[in-house]
Amino acid sequence: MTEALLDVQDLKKYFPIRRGVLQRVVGQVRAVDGITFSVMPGETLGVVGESGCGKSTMARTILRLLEPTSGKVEFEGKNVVGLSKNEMRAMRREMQIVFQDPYASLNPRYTIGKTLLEPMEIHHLHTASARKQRVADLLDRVGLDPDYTNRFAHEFSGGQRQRIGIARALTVNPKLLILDEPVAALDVSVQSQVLNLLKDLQDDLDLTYIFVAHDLSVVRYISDRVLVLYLGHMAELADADEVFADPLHPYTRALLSAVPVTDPDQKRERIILKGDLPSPANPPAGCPFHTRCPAAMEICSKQVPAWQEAKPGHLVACHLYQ
Amino acid sequence: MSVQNASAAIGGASKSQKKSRGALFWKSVRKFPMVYVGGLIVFLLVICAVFAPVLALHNPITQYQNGLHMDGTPVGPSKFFPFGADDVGRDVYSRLIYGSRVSLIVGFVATAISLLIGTTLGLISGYFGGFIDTVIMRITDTILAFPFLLFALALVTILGSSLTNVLIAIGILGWGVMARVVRGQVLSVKEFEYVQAARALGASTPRILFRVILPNILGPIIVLATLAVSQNILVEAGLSFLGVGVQPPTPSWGNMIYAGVQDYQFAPWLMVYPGVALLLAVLGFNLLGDGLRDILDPRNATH
Repeated sequence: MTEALLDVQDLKKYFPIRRGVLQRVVGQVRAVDGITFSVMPGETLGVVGESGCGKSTMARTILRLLEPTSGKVEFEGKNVVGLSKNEMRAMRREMQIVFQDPYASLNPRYTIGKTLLEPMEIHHLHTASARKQRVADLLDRVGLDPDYTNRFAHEFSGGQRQRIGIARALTVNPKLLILDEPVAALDVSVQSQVLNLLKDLQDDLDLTYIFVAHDLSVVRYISDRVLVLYLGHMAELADADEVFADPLHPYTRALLSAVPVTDPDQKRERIILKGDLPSPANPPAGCPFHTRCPAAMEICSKQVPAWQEAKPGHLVACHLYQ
Repeated sequence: MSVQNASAAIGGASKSQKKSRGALFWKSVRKFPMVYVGGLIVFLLVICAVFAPVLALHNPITQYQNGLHMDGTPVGPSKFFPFGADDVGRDVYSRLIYGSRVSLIVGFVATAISLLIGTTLGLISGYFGGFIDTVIMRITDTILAFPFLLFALALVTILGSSLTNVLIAIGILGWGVMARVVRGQVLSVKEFEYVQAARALGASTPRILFRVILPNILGPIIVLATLAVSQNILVEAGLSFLGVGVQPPTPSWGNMIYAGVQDYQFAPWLMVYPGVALLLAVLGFNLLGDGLRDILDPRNATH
């Protein structure tokens, strides 16, 4: 068996809630509460869940854009969490991120050329002329005209900006790319172009992706495996086909039943969840999903379900399968 | 696409880019004509200061005998003394021209000092937050709680009266507002994903502060600095009027007004001309600053 490229163990990120004159910590928002998974080289792990379930926080915590509260993030066997400033800087060449909002993720004061040159300057990669050549190559690579180097971000459309964001992430030749809802802000037609670009890039550059999204059809299209998050906890993890063919967790089922089906004759069961997402500042006891779960049992409100294999390669945290 | 073309484009189009940005700027300037007035006054002021030896008719500190009447009172505006002479027979016009140097030096240098302190502290305070932010902001509150002119007066008295000390006093007291404004801007800009992206790419903290965040908050800083220049010119005039600023015989508008106060009944030109000069200078910088604020306000953006 090959070594995992990224190994996340019991990752937690709590945000303190401060109140009063003295700013005392009165509680915690448990945005990411114990997530464990690994990513194999060359695969795409889709991460899904509704708004506020901790997807983006998880992505940022893995990259240490947010300091994890606890847990381990091992990249090629090296724990990222304990790294010093300089070690971390070197590590950043290995892992990069593409952001959701193509309008906020590019510096409005930079030309595209500068946006792409800066990472190489930071890491002292290549000579000056080779850098310029690489900028042109990268623009070409992501399907943009290399003549665009002197334009500013505001001159581009959302899809073009997202391509620039991808090119920027690629400047340092990363092995792992965390895509934080990279197509959520784009038109559907542009979404597919960007998705195809990502697929091509993955094949050509041997990239490994963590693809965060809330759009299930997008995740299904691009992912090898899918991780379902709920309220900062893991609900289900399995091969993409397996998750979509045979979802085990009631939450995954509810999510899947919400995906529109193109065939009007197809009968399907629509699972409507009751109530709102509980506050991560005050999560329910036991299984975090029991307050809205159509299949909730008595044990669900008392005991946290264990994370275990229900079928080979299909992990789920639910009392139905224990 | 060949390499040569790509690199040629890098050099070539950045110029055209600047041009189009400049064109946009001038387009919005037209919507706010008062900027022209302010800019013109400031421009004339700079010309006065730079070409003072050419524009002045006489040496500003020479005491002319024909500047005084037989009874020792100063002569009024005449061909030889366009704005009259002062109580010791010096040419008011030439002193006014040279006085613009003091005003502008104080205006620009003191503002630069407070800008440097205020921007740096504001950047640090806003970016790091937490305890550092609290400490810096409480210091800022303390600085702002002091009456500016009185504190400057006390400081110059302690340090001794000279142009340099006036600069230092105004500079190290005037950064409070700047630090606050910069901090507020940083708080909003640092949440943008391009700042996160820079961090993810491994940019160092100074790089993020000065090369990523600072250029994006330059607009409000420029406006604030312009307005601070006019305020600092006034404070210098005030200090010189009170006798702790620029020392005679070096002409400064403030000490010229002071010298004119005693004789205002029979020689009003001693007070009126430097007063008007001061008024125009402050008005010019204020119009320019207000105009720049309107132009740089995204709600008025032409594009």
